[in-house]
Amino acid sequence: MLGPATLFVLAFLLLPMLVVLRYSVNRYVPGGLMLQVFTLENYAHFFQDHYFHKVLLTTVWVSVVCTIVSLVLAFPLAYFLARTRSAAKSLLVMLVVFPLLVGNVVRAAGWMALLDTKGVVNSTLEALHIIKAPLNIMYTTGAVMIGIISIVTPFMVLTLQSVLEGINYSVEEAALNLGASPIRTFAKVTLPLAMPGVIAGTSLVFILCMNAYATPVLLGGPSFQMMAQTIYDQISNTQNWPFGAALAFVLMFVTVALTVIAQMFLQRRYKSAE
Amino acid sequence: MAKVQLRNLTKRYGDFVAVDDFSLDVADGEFVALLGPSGCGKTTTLRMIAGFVEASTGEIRIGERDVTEYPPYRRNTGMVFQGYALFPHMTVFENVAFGLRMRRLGAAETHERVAQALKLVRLDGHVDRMPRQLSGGQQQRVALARALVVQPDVFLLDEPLSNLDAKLRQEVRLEIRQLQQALGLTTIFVTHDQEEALTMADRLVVMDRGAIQQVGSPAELYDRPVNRFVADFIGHSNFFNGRVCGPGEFKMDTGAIVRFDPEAATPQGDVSVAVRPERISFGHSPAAGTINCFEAEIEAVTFAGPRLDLILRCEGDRIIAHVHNSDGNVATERHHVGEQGFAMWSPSSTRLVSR
Repeated sequence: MLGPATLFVLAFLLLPMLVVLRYSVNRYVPGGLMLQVFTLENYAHFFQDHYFHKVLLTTVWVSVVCTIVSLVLAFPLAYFLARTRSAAKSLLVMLVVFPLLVGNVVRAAGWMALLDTKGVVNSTLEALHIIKAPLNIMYTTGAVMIGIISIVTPFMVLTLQSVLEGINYSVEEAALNLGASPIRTFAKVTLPLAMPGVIAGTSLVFILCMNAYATPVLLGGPSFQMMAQTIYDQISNTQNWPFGAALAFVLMFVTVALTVIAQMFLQRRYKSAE
Repeated sequence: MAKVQLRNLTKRYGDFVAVDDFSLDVADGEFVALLGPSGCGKTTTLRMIAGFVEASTGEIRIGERDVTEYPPYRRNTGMVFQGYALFPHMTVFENVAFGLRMRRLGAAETHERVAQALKLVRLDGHVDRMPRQLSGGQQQRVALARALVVQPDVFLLDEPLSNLDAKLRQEVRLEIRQLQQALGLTTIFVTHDQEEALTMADRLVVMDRGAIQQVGSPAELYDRPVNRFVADFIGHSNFFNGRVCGPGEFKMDTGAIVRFDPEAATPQGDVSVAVRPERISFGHSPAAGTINCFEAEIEAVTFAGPRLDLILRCEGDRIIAHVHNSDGNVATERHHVGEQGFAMWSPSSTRLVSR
């Protein structure tokens, strides 16, 4: 079964990961190369230093909020796209994908122009005399969340849409016919049937959030730290490759663990319709 | 159960009129079939009754309630969908219990009524199966039980048999009819299959292009169609064009005179004469006392099992006559292509229909 895709993954994903895993148990020599040893001190360093716990918690917190907000924003849109018979449907789908055509950095720059103290949002609100002093939106957790949500939501919409399209509309009509209000129809029929899409979409988006780099750097400012930046700093600035590698594995482990736990929870909560 | 009154129901989509001024009274416990070709508006009418399609104008009353403005979940109708629309993520029990749960019935009563409903459709013992583990016929029964268990005011069936194979369809047809009669269900049934409608319904509503063509019992519609569409859609008819030229006399375009029952109602406007194939007999000499008798030549002979179809050239038209295979000897050698003879039928078999 060693197809070209398998070989590609082996060569360009698994091998580099094994190399990084090996680095993560090396010893850091300040100002020099790392020593090829087998030590868990890099992982111990992470578990002992509260600063890194805080960074990880921030990363998880931002990712959870962004995933939930993006799910809530994306569901009605995906539902509309799945159900519409409008001739403009493919155009609307294109519009959903459109933000992805702009690079992360460019998009973050756009958010900066909007959210800055002298940005479009503040100057408009001031001009309308809704606020007196400019709001501090830039370089806050909120700004980072807005930036990340704008990037991940298209993925959520597309994933949900494909699953929602597979749900026969007549089952929703059957629920209405049997006396279920639209809200109960959604809770008892649409949402459970859409669960495979919700699980796939939230997993995908959560992973993207956990690994966000450019957006938190540009919109969060120097004092705001998420894991990807911290790893980059360790490897690029401090030249501490072993610790950077260990952080990378911590991030990966936490991401996978949380994704799996959430999936199991959701699957148990709603028996999926396979 | 309750009676259903539909008053001047109309549904427009832009310039397109899907249902045009539809009025009908369905009595308590009556089984009415809406019959017509696809696109005739029968399904739209049913969906307006269920509340899935909003009527452009008109009124819908179920029992004493005017439900025209009601959302579907407040109408208390029980619908069986074409593809059954079972909830794929629920067991048979949960599917049937759904409507009772929405009505917030207690657990004990829910269990009892679900068990009763499943017994009614002979599916007890399958409560824990998922819909995908059931055959098409069994899924159909779950859909029936699910719609009936809530004790709807009216039972709505949207082509419920079209996904079943021919043999099973016969069986389920009878079962639905028996169930309907035993429970006294007010039933509105949508189908494009005339045989289904004829064998199941108390009354038929034939629709075409959004409008009612004729309403009546199966026998009325078959034996006394009012227009050419009904005469041709229910069963098959042979048509001759011409005009009425006297009491009980119709002059065909060829000049020949066909006699019909002068007592029968004569439609207004352009008319045709319609004759059912099984009413036409073919012989080598005019039978004694036959009033309508025309020279005919056999153009084709087809053996159809219970009967033989003779395609005849008669008065410039091509018509079909059925010869019953009553003695098992109606073999093709008794009739052959090119054979000359007479097509004969009685005035009472001759219907005037509007064109």
